[in-house]
Amino acid sequence: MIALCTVSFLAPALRLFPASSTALAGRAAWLAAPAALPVMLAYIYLLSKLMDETVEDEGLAELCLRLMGKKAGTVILCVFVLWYLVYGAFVLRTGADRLITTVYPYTPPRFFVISMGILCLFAALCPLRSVMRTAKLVLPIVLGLLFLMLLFAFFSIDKSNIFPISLYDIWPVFKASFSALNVTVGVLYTLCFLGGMVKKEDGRIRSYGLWVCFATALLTVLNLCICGCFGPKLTSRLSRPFFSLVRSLVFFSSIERMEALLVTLWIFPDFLLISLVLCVSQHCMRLICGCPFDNEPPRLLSIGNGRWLIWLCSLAVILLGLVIAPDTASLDLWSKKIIPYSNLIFAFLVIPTIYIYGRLAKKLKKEP
Amino acid sequence: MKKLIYVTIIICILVSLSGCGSMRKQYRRLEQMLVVQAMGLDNEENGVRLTLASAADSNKKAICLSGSGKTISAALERIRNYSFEEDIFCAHVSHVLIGEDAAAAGIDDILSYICHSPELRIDLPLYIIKEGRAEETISGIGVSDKGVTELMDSIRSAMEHRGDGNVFTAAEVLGSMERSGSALVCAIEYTTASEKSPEEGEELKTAAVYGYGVLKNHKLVKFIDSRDAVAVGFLLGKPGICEIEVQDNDGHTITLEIDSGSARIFPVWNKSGYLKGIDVQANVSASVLETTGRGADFDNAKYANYLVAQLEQELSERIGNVLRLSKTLRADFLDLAGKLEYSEPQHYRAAVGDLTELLPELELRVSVRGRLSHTNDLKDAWP
Repeated sequence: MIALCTVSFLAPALRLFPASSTALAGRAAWLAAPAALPVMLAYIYLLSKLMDETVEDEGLAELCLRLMGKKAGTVILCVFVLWYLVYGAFVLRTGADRLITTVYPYTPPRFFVISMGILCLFAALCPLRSVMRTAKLVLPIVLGLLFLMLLFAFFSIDKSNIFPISLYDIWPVFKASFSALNVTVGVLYTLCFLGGMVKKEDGRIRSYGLWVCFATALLTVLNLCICGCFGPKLTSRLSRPFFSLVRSLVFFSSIERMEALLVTLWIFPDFLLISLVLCVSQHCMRLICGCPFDNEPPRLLSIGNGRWLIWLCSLAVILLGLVIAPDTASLDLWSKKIIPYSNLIFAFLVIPTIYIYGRLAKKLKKEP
Repeated sequence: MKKLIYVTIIICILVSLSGCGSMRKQYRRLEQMLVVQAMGLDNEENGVRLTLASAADSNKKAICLSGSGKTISAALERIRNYSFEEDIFCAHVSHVLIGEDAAAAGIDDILSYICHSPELRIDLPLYIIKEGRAEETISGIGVSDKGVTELMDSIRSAMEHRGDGNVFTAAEVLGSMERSGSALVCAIEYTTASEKSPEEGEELKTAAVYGYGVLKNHKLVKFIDSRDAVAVGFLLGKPGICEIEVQDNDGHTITLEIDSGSARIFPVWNKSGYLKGIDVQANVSASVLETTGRGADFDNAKYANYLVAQLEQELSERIGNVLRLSKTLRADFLDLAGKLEYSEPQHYRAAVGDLTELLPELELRVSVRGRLSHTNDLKDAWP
């Protein structure tokens, strides 16, 4: 679960965080993630309290139906499904855009959207443990390469790009901390939907607390390296600062232009994030439609037990991926406004509402 | 059977992702490509003149191609269309040379092209050619196995430890422009080489570091020669190794080699707490590289102190020249604002808005502390 969480987190972390936090906090942007850490830990605590109320084989979707009642719960799940379909489509579209702008400049986005969508459909058709196992396999490669890039970039940091910091930076850092929250909490609450599909483990708060600390450290180092190399103004203007940084790195004065390798490897975080989103959305859809869940591993192409919903969700994600954000300006709008704000609304409004409603209605009791 | 179908589908998708299939138009063979390593840009009446050069090798000279167009892309397209080369590959461009005319007209379009191009990197080093054109420089430099690319490579690596020049990348220039509206670019001059052509005995042409070009609002406004470029190195925190000539008390020329140094910049506040001036405190350490005449006596403290005083005065004058230029141009190309803020961030942020507005009125205080580190093998003058 932690491996899936980490790899899925890397996709928005590199896409959104460096440019958005630097635009808000300037050279103090590297403090944005540590500034968000207390809220992240509090959010873990909230999610943990919420998930403590689930019974065996229950995730956030089932809990939502139980706490909010059939009608309100169904409406909320529909909204979540819609959100995840749009989010999956957006990740597909941005992944295609990244490949076009970095490695394949003359290729239409629909090619990447459709091929990645089909790959993710196969992942969603498989049992969830296959996706998790893939995350476990991919994690060391992706993280290893990321750390290698950051290590080389670290020696190119110009300290005048990240210092000095004064009290005047407190407010900008506070505003930028929302970017850090955005990329972190989205993955965390999405994983809560998988609660019913995986075995419960003890020490959840501790392990996710540690994960949040790791994510904070990673975001901090990421901003230190990118902002330290390019300066805050330029970083905030770059569409993909991390990949621009990788493009600029020269290893041992002889190896350069490594961006193609990294961009290609970055398909994995996108692939796992979209697969995760598809798993969650089809799970919610099956709950809404009242379809029974598979008791034993199903055949890959079987469409019984509501498995046709997986195909439907994948088709919706691919079609949405083809139509949303047809140009750079609209992709920018989706990337900087629609997706981050929607994510924060789900994280800090919808999910706490479920918890508070459950408490008020005194339904937060484990059922026998 | 089903497994076979799945594997076939997955392989088809993977093959497509690896660059074959529908992306076949991007597939190019190495031998079909001309790998461009140097790019030159000049101003023309109705647009730009683009010059491209490959690297030279032991068998053949570097290939140079030129073309004009309203934009850089149009000029590149023209070169592609009117060239014998099958494919011109620009992803490995490693030097961008800009003619003085083009730099004076403004490099914003050039920076924009570098940042938007899918092939070029934003950390490409930029050079401005003093009193010259990029096309002339790129096509004129070189002998059989050494062209402009090799020469610029050696200039760049020499600049890493030299104190009279620095190479700035497009990203650094852009960053500086965004920060203060001005920037420095390495300036080179197209000049006669020491060597002569082995066949005809003709003079060969080369490029040498001149100093810096100062850009303000993306336009070249002034050059800093290699003499004052030493001071720029100090003020940027990259002093490097360079020679400096001073006179001893008998009027003999002594060449000192600066091997290390630093400069710290502090704000000077008036009683009301507003910025009144800039205080530069530099340290320099030099060794004796060459003496003329017979009077040199480095064991004599009075003689050594005199030389150190000369060194301090010389460096102080050069630092003063560069700071005065910054004041005159109202251009903070040395990132003085960042350095002043660094020493007192809280006070600076409260008291100073835009430093470039205040620059002309600011007092300058420059103090240099020098020392002679060593005299190499011989303690005094020869004989």
